Amino acid sequence: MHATVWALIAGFIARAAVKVITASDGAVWS
Amino acid sequence: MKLRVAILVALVTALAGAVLLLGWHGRTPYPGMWSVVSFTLAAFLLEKSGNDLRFETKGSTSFVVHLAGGILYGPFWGSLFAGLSTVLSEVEQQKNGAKVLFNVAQRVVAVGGGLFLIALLGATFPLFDFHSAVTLNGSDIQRNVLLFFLFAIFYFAFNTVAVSLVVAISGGRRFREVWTLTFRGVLGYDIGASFLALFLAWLYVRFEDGVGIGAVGFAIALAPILLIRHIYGLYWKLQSSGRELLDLMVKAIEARDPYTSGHSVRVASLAKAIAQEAKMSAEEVELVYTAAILHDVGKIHEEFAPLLRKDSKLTPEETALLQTHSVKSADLVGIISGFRGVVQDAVRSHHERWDGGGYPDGLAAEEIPLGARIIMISDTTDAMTTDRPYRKKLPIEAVVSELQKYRGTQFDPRLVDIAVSSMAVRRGMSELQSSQPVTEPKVIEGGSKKVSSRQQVPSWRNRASWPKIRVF
Repeated sequence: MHATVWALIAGFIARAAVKVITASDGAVWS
Repeated sequence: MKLRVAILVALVTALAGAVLLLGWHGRTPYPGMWSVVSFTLAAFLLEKSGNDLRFETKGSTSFVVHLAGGILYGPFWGSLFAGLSTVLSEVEQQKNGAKVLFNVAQRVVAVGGGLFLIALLGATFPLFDFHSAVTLNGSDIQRNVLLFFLFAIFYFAFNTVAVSLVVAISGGRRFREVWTLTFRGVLGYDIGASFLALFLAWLYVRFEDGVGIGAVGFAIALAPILLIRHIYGLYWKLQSSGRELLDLMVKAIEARDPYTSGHSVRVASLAKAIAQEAKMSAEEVELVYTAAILHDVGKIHEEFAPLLRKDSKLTPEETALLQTHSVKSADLVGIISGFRGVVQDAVRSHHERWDGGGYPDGLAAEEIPLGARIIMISDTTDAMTTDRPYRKKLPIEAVVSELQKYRGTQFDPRLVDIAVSSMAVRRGMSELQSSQPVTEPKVIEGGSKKVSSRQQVPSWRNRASWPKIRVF
């Protein structure tokens, strides 16, 4: 049970991290 | 280069010079060659894994390293690392001098300016003492986390505003449009991702203490970021191929119907101007633009080819058949899942009239999607403002009086009022007039014989109601 909850939390954090890494941008004039 | 661009580049460069000079006086001790190389190279690598954003902008996660360097080493070294890494990536991409100068300078100011700001509020550098185990009960920690976020907010605010400004001025676009469409939606993610900078700085210091080389910590943290961004880059390329495919579709239909050469793009530009004047949000304006670009793609169907080439009057059956093009266009547009809904509905209804006498569904007034009402006006305007072999283009005033004449019957009266009273829309109309569509006879393949497009005079040229413009 505990393992499942932790896995869900870890999955959620990983998903959020991926979203944040892919969506965030410091910009330059190209 | 435009004078206003040159002034902006000079201004940001002067600010960067001031930041470095000011920073030099209160600088922290030299962090050592390893740090200079690690921070510069790490930011450069992340910059390389960046993606093209909209307009003339490019985005990357190099800011994570810039922010980490800033909180560890203060304004001078922090902005120097950010500047050096930007010099490397700009020179590697062989950009012109003004772009290199501007990008390096805006990065220096974004880092240095933000750090000065929080220094004024009491920050000292390094902002966190990562050498000892971090305890979360001190009020210093809470205050410093707040200061860190303030620094990150300044960084993104300055960075996105400066880049939007230069892109807007050099490309003749509105600042608000560039900023909103490129950056507004992701600002929350930017602030969220700045957490990674804290993690990165912590890893760097811990590995420096532990194994003597902080860069090992960088490698551990940056490898997954680079991998994720690489995968995202592939996805991004897929998306842009999708957009290029749309361009291909538009070009294909315009090749088949030479009268409409450039028509879709002109209609889309005018529709965009009207939508902006109608105070639609930037996202909605974009949807209207997309729908306008695609409004005639259905004409690519083989059954329309003879009708588009026919130089005599269309029979009622042929007219009815040609009128199915809006449904055919909508069906094609609906293949792209992202266009179902607003874009598809606007394409389907772009020949609906305000009084209910249009096609395909006979919708009236507010039942007609707003985007379709806008395309109806810009589509008709483009037909009036371009030369056709059977008549010259109409002057702007004649176009305006035509729009007003059919205000409330063919067109949405409110949109006509907005369009004719707006300087931006009138400017758009003049641009349509000055653009040159089909003026030279163009030889196209027409079955077994070659025909000149000049011979293909549409059937409605002799209509008694002319200059009321019929658009199919």
